[in-house]
Amino acid sequence: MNKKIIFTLLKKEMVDIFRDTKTIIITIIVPLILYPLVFLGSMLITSNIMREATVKTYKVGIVNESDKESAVLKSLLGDALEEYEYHFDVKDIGTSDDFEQSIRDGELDAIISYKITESEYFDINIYSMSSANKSSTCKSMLEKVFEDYGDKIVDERLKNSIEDYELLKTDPFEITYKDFSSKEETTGMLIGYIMPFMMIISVLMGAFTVAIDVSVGEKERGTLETLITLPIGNTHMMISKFLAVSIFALFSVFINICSFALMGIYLFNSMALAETFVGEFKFTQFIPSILLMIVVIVLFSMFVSALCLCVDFTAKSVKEANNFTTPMMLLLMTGAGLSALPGVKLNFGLAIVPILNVSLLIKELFMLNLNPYLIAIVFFSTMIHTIIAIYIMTKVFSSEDILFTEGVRSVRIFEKRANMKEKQIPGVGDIVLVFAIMFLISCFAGGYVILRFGFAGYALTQLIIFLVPAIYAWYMKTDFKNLFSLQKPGVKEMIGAVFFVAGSYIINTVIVSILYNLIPTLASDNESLANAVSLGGFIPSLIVVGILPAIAEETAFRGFLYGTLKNKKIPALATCIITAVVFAAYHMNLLQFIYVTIMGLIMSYMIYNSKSIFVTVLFHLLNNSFSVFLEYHKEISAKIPFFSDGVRDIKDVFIYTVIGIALLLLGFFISDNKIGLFAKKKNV
Amino acid sequence: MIKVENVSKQFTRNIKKNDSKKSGFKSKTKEEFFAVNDVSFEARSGEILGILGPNGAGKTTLLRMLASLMTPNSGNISIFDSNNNIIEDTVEKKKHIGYLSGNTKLYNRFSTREMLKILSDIYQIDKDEADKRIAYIEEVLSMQAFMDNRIEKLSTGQTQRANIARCLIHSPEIYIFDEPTLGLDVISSDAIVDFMKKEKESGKTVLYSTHYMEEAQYLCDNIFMIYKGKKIAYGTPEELMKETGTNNLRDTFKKLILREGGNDE
Repeated sequence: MNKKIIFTLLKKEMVDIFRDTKTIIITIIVPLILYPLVFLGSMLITSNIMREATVKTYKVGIVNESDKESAVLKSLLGDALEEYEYHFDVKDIGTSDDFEQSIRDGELDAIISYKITESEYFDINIYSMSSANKSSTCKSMLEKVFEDYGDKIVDERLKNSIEDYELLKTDPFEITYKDFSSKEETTGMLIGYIMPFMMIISVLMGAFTVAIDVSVGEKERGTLETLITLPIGNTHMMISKFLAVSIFALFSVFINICSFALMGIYLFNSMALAETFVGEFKFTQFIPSILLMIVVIVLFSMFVSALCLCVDFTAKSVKEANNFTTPMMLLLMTGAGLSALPGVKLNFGLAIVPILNVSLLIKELFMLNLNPYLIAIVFFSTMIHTIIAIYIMTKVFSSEDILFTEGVRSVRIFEKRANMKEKQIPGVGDIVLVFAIMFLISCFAGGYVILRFGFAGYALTQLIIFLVPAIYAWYMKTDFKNLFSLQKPGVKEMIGAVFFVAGSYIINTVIVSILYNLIPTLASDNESLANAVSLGGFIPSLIVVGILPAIAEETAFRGFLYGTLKNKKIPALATCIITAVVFAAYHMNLLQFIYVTIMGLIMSYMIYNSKSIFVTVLFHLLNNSFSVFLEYHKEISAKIPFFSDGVRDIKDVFIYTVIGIALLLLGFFISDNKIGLFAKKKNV
Repeated sequence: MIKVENVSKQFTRNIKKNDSKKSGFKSKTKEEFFAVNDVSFEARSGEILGILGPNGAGKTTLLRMLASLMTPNSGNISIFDSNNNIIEDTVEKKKHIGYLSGNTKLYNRFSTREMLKILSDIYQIDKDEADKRIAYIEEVLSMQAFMDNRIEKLSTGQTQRANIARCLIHSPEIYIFDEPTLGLDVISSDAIVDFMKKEKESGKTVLYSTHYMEEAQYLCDNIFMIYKGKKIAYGTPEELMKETGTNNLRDTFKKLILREGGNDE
């Protein structure tokens, strides 16, 4: 990697970006002017409305039937000016007048008529029109005046008839409130709701336009061909573009913060908040939060930039790139917005979900909840996301493909089914789309079905996981046999699978025990799953937890994901690792993430070796069913202390790890097609 | 020197056809075709090789492969440096080639001088050397008047000169020009023709494609004629004219194309 060349290219990209007036307007001028305008504008409007309400004069008609009653009403409305600052312009009208018409015409805002009854006071009718703003306000004002008038009369009556009225009127007890939140915490909560959204939007805004300009924009302007005549490697070019976009995204964040801060200071001073905060307010409390936020935002900008470039490089033109990126932006913004929902809190599962983890972390940071484990996980997973995105960007897209083929055909679904080429293989974009759909459906719909139908909901979620890739593959007429590795499995691989299950089960139990001891909080994350399993009864659990995932999850992961990747120019090892990590991330649980990654790697190897999905289906089936079996037959697991208590000391760890690895090796030597025990015999 | 052996390049293209049986919709089918099909030739130092052919014959694809912008599906392209050593690395190859085509646009938001400075950084030419080089190019292409103007403000002829300046900055051994005189006035195009001639005389290899037959006849030492991706003739202009019994390259060209089945593009 030649740093000097990357630096030169980066400098070129940055100068190019900053000389583009369109970009500058969108990313600098708009936020600098927009925020203050929106806020000040809305403040002006509200204060105007409020002023109007008090200053305006309302025309009230009184149906004059008797001078005495009318005089009472008039004095009442006249007094309202002093008491409530209500301006009424009172006017007598005749009984025969068309009330409705005069209100509709705006001649009067409300009309009062009264009916003399046998009691001391008269009844009142108020005519108004709630659909007209002024009339409706006038009505509420009159309501207030008359209600208070009524209360006053009642008060008077009570005073006259009860001797110790004043004593009775005093409050029976006193309530005092004490708020333990410090001023920092209260402010932090407020900022915590606004900040994530603002940060993420400004990263997206910055990356969005520039990524398009630097990729397809350059292609469309014809300078990309010039660029590749230069002696620069593909990686150099990609990295410099990626850095330019990242830096610009950060620049956009900076501009947004400046604009926001300036406005904040203005509001702070103008709204007399200053007095309440000065002195006690310790800004220093937020310094660690702000520093951590800066680091996470830098990482996040890199992630978004790589993601945008990946998408934009698949597009043929700027227009198409806009069409691709806009839905992605909406998706990302939804992720950012979700963090503002009440009750959504950062946990070990959400800490590995891209975007959502960053926005939740920023929120938590400002609320001064600094959990080092969660912070570390968010950092780590964001870093992993970024590395994956950069890897795809630099390896999958070669400059030749971008330039001379009609865009990299990585999304193949946007075509009529009749026009689909027979037996094709999905592109990388298709994977992203399928998993995005799966994720959205199982997150939103899935969550709902589980709430609604309880245990059966889990089965429905599995059905979704199965159907999405299956229908997608059907629609684009893929080569099912190739994509889903539908090959008859060999006997040795099936036998090997049994040993793999045994070995991985033991190793996982060891890992889980160790992790439980190290980080006890993890245990609570895992309990909900065990609860779910023990809900349904043995046979339903066996079906929903044991059998269905073995089919559905294998279709999605070892089928669609692995099947697509294995057909791409990606090293087999990378394919295996990507499949395993995505599979683990899908479990949305840190504990599972660790041991499922190991299982995923074993399964990746198995499908790589056997080229048959049925082998991994068997593995998955046995593994999950065994868990269910142990959950329901505690009497059996109780007999084997290893399964009930896990490992207790170093000696146990050592012994069981050795047993586990031995079983895995046995499985490996039975099933491997290159150096396994039975491989050579077959060849000879 | 550049040596091309049995080079082929295949593309997939979408063909729209009216499928009236099924429905009124146009349906697309994909078809594999050879843009360049089994082509071999050689261009030595101090030689101008003209690549001629009708539109869509595969000239641009061929030149792109020669400039290492595209990789051929099969065959071999060898680039030799001034000491006749073969260069293997793609990035290294590009340092010895100056490539210009209608598709190599310049960065509009830069001035010619800024662009040349960035390029000399990328080619890793040291600063003093680069300054000398830029001054020389400015002189040779008489660009003094517009060196510091943004490229978006230049005229077509000026832009083309700036583009040639781009190819000159690293003083390559091989020039590959795809229709360099297209759409230029007589003075601008003559300047470019003179430039190529001068470079050839100083021992550089020049490959260039054109639709102007008179220009090719005047300039080229050898001519390679390509049609539908295949070689249809290769030789000096005189040889080709003699072979077809014509007295100018224009008629030679027409005759050769007609012999191959005419221009049905």
